[in-house]
Amino acid sequence: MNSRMEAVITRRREVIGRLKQVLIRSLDLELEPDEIAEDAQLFGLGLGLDSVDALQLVVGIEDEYNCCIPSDNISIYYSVNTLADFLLAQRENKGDDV
Amino acid sequence: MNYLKPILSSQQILNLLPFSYPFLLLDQVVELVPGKRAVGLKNVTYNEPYHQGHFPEKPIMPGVLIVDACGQLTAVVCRTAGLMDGKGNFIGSPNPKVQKAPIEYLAAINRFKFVRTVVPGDQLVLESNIGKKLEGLLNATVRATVQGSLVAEGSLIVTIGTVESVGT
Repeated sequence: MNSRMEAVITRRREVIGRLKQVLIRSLDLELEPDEIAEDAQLFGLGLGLDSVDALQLVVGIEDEYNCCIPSDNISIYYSVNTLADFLLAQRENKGDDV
Repeated sequence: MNYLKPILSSQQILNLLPFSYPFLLLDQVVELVPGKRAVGLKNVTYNEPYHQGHFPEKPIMPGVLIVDACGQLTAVVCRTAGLMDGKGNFIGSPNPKVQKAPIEYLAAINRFKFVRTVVPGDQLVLESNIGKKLEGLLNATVRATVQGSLVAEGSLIVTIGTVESVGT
């Protein structure tokens, strides 16, 4: 595996780890990070979060990453993975540290 | 801080919000950026009925009412968003019966802390800053001070639009 690929994987892991911390902290979830499946639905059947949790999570993420998440694209919030995809894409565009 | 001329008087606030006696917890609005932020005043007086019981020997304004006062100021910010021009003039009807604006319900109270007690004679200076909006909900950061000292701060989530239940 070349080092560029390794760097991408490490970065994604870091982003996901940090995201899970934000999730747990913003919503006072009584879960460990490894109990949150990255592909599980955040709202509805998966973690069972509601719309108030959604807003609290968005505020938590925006504070943590000092960025702005658009309100009109709901699919970003589907799972931890989709959120990570969005944040990593933002980072590519802005060149910031995620 | 000396506020000489209110932007919204209590009568205008009564026309704007769905509240009325005995639950209007905002006396004047002294700074207003419609849709974004506001500063309002609430005078605390012994004559308010809850002081009889809270507490009989030591009247203190209940913290939850400070929270609700902040919520009412937040409602003012939301409701003036479409109704006022930059100079503080109403450009639409401020009357809620005419507006038919849905009532803003409190959906969450986050990380609220109460730093000092509030007693009769205090003038609560309330501030509300509107933050993120998502799916019929709005986050606002609020704080209350008395003579420049912090008495309470936290954030609120309120419903905007016709929402009866926020669970999915």
